[in-house]
Amino acid sequence: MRVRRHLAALVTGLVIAGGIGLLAGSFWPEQFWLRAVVFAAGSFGPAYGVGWLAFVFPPTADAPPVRVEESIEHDWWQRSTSGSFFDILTVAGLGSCVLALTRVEMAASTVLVALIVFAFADVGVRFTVLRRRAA
Amino acid sequence: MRNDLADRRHQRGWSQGRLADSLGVSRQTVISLEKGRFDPSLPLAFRIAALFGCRIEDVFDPADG
Repeated sequence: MRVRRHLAALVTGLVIAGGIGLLAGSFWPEQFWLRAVVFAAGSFGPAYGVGWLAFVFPPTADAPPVRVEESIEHDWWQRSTSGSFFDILTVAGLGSCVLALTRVEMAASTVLVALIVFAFADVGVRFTVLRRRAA
Repeated sequence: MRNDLADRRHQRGWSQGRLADSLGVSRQTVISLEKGRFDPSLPLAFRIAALFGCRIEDVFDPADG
C-alpha cells in the first residue's frame, strides 16, 4: 500500500512535469525536445511534491487539531507571513530604487523568481525562529 | 501570561497530549501556554476554564503578563 502511494505520487509528478515540458517545448518548435526535457526535469521536483501531497501525506500525517486557528502554530504562521509581507515590500521598494538609480535592466522573470524565493525563505526563517523560541 | 495550567493538569494526572485533545488544540499549544509564552484566544480561555470547572481569572493571572 505504501509503495502504491509513492508510485502514484511518482506518476503524478511525471505527468505534471511532462505536461509542463510539452507546453514549454510547444512555444519553441525549433528546439522542442531540448526545451521540453529541460523544463520537465526542472519542474519534476515540485510536480512530485504535488503528488506526494495528494497521495502520500494525508494517510501518514497526524490528524490536525480540531481548532487549528487557536493553536500556536497558526499564530506562528500568521506572524511569519504578515512579517514577511513587510519584508517583501521593503525589498521590492529598495530594489526598485536601486534599479532606478543605477539604470540596470533586469528580466521581469528573474526579478519575480528572486522575489518568490526570498518570500519563501523569509517566511521559513521567521517561522523557524518563532518555533525555536517557544521550544 | 502566567497561569497554573500545568498544576491543574498534574492534579488530574493528564498528559499534555490529553489536555490538548480535550481543548482541540495542538500539544505544542499546551506546552507554550504552560510556559506562559502564548496567550490563548478568549474562546480557548473559556474552554480551559470550563474544562477545569473554574473561572478564567482563576487559571490566568493578567498581572504577571
